[in-house]
Amino acid sequence: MIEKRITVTNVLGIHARPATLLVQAASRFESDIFLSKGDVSRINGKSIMGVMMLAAEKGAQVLLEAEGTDAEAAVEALGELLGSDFEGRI
Amino acid sequence: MNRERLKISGIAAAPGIAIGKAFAHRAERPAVSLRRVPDHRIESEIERFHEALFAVCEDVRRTRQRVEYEQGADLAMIFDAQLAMLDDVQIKEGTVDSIRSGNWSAERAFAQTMAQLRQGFEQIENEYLRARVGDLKDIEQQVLVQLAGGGLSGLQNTRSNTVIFARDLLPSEAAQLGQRLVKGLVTDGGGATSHTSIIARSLGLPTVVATETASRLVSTGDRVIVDGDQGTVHIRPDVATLRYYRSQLRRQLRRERELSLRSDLPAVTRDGAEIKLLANIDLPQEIEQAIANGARGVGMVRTEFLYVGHRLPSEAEQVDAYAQVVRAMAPHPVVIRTFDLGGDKLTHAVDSLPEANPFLGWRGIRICLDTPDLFKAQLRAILRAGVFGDARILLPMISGLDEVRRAREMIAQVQDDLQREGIEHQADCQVGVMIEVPSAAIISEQLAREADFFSLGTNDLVQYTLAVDRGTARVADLYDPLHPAVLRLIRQVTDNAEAAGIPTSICGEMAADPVAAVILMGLGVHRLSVSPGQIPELRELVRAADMATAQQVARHSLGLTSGHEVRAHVEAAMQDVLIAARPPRHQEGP
Repeated sequence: MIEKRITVTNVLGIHARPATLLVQAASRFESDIFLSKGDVSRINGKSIMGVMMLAAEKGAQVLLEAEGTDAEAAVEALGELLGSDFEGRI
Repeated sequence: MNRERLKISGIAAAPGIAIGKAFAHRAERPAVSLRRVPDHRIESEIERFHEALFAVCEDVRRTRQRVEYEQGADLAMIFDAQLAMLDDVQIKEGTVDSIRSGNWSAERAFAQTMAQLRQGFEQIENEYLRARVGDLKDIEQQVLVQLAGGGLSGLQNTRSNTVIFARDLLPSEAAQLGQRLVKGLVTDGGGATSHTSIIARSLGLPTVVATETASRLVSTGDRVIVDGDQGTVHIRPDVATLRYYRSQLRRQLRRERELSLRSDLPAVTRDGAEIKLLANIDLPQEIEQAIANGARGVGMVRTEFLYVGHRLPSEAEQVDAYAQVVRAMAPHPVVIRTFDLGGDKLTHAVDSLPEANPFLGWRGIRICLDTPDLFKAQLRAILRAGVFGDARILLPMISGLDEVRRAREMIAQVQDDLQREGIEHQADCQVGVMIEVPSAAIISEQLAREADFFSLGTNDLVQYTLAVDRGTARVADLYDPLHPAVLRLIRQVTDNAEAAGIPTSICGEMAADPVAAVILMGLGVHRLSVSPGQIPELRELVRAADMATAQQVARHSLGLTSGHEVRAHVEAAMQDVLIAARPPRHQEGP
């Protein structure tokens, strides 16, 4: 299990479009991906419904976890995406 | 659902009668069946759910493609979110679990799962995310419709004659209607001049639009009748109504057969005046019907249809499309109207901004002149296609002389370019002006000096002259092509054209109305261009008419005070002629 804490920097937070991009990226990994924030724990990072319901706004602390053969690569790639401005595509 | 028999009125958009079974296209949210699924059927129920998801995904993907092309990649991303939702593990697993554990139908299990997710969403404080509830509802609706038998794709399952009921159809959807079993079309919205109506007419599909409620009152499988002549729709008709329409339908088919045998007869009035009957066409394949019905040329090719569902057509693609028509019609002329975008038509094809009044905005020749690359490519294509026969250029939405001059300059430039490049093209191409803005009619004397011919676009001319949008149900009654103001403008145009020695044709819908056609002939419009299917009727009219009487009737009409008076006068004065074109029904419709 690999984990990493990330601060969301995207102005509008992880709303529909960033969530779509994140889920698309997460689905490329074999590992199970989980996201937690405050009292919402371990939602499925490959479910857009889950990621959207996380309602992570700008400045939110998100815990990213990955479990599986490519966990390390997944955390690195998804962590970078989560902390980014999503290619400017807010 | 109401099981009463119903008669609904709308606007007659394409003539003819259709009797068949209703197919409700994306009607109300289907009722969710509460039935339980027996254990041995659970796996096939799950399979059914997955198939529905897959079909909706395909639909959304197609929509996404269209939107990306039409509106750009940014807007298309909305559909990525929908696609991700349709592929969501929570939705899939939640539904499948519920089918398994509760023996619920796919509909119920899915609706339940979606309801739970929606609840969670509505509690989110972030408003951007909360707004995504709309997407959730949208896909929920689509999947439920799919489970209930499908959108237009469900058509494949229909066996009998089908009449499509829809709130509105996209032109691209309407274009798919040319299927053998589709016999008629009814929409809640739209107008007689909307693109859906135009396509329905060219497909010969009896159509009633602007019914406001029909799609909500009908259920798939209901027996229905579409009366595209009177603009009425009967849902679950009684036996007497059905019997009446069956006999009308038989008469209609018999008459079509009779008229098709007379397509070689010349369109000459009894006193020897020749009227040229031309075809308006949207799709190159319509040219066959035009020729079969004896068209003596194409009065207008609406080139916008090259766009539907595609990217902008290249010069080469346009050459192909135009050459097909020009070659088939040779030696008769083919008038090609340059892109008439804007207004309600395909504004996304060019980079237009939202406007408060699109019909008074950036459209027609204004767009052509402002996007010279697009315009020149089309002009080159027309001139190149002209090699195969006689192509002519028609400029839409001209409101002043300067626009004609600038367009002619560009045509001259394009001719020089083609010459220099050594590309074969038509050197002596005629250039005509659409008269569809009142200012053009008023200065037609000046325009006549710069144009080789006039073409009356009465759909717009009537709307602009009377300030009426016929698509707006509340004022649609005021839309009257026989209004004396319209007739006087037309007289002005034909007088000026005659003085300058150029011909005037009409390519508006008005020409297909026998009463209007008689007046137009009398006013000096000797080229009538209508949908290919309407030519035989018009031929009968011309052959039964007498030019001297038509002129007298037209002259008298100019002095009347309303369109109703004009119609009554023509009907009284030329009853026999009108009956020859359109025999009355044996008895009044129920």
